[in-house]
Amino acid sequence: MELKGIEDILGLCIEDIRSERSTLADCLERYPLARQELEPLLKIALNIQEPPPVAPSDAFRVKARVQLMEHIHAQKEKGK
Amino acid sequence: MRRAKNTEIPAGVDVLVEGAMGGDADSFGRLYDTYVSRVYRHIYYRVGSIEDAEDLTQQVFLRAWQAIGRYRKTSSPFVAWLLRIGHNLVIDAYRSKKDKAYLDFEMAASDSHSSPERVAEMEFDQQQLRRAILQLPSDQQQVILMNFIEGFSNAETASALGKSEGAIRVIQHRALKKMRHMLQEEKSWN
Repeated sequence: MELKGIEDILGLCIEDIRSERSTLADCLERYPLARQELEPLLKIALNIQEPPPVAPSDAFRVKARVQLMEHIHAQKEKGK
Repeated sequence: MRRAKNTEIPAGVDVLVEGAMGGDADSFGRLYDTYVSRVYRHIYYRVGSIEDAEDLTQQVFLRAWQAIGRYRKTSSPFVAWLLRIGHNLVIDAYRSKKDKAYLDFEMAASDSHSSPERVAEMEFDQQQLRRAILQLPSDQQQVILMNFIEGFSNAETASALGKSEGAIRVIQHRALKKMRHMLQEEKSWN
């Protein structure tokens, strides 16, 4: 891939770090001219964590499913 | 940073999607069972209210059923299509809200990466980052959420949004720059 600009370098570094092919330090070393802009942006990207594993209540899941199925069947009946 | 685990496709989903596209309610019901928690969690992160998250999650599946005939299989997983519907519904919900209380919702931290080493290298807390993400323009917010919160690759996000990978990289760069600006501003206020 021909790198065109900071967007590509940033994208490449993020993908490499996510897949553990590189570290932040490796990326900064690889692109010294982009370091000044790259470093703070990569740090932000690396700090974004997945949200806590919240789950819908069982009551909601069941109720919403029943309503969804009622809606689908009603729509099908209408279409007959 | 996210791992690829979230993008794994549960076995049999392709068959269920095909069934649902053919009008099979049972297949769609099973897709609901597979993805309701994932969709709920994504929406809850954004709206910070159980009531709103439940309402919007229900709407996602109703809209998805109505639109399933227009669904086209791409290289992105089916759940990305559901999350895209969710994104549009959340944006509409934001517009109708007069206040921005959802920005200040205190979300408990995930403990998945909370080793002492990991905590030490964290420069921003998750509340700050969430607030910054949710104040991004819609297209930037969507790319950041799909790439970092949902763990999709650039290629999957590009496919789900009907854009090129290059366009996604440009949006991602703009988004992170904007977040940097917002985080710096917040720091200077404190």
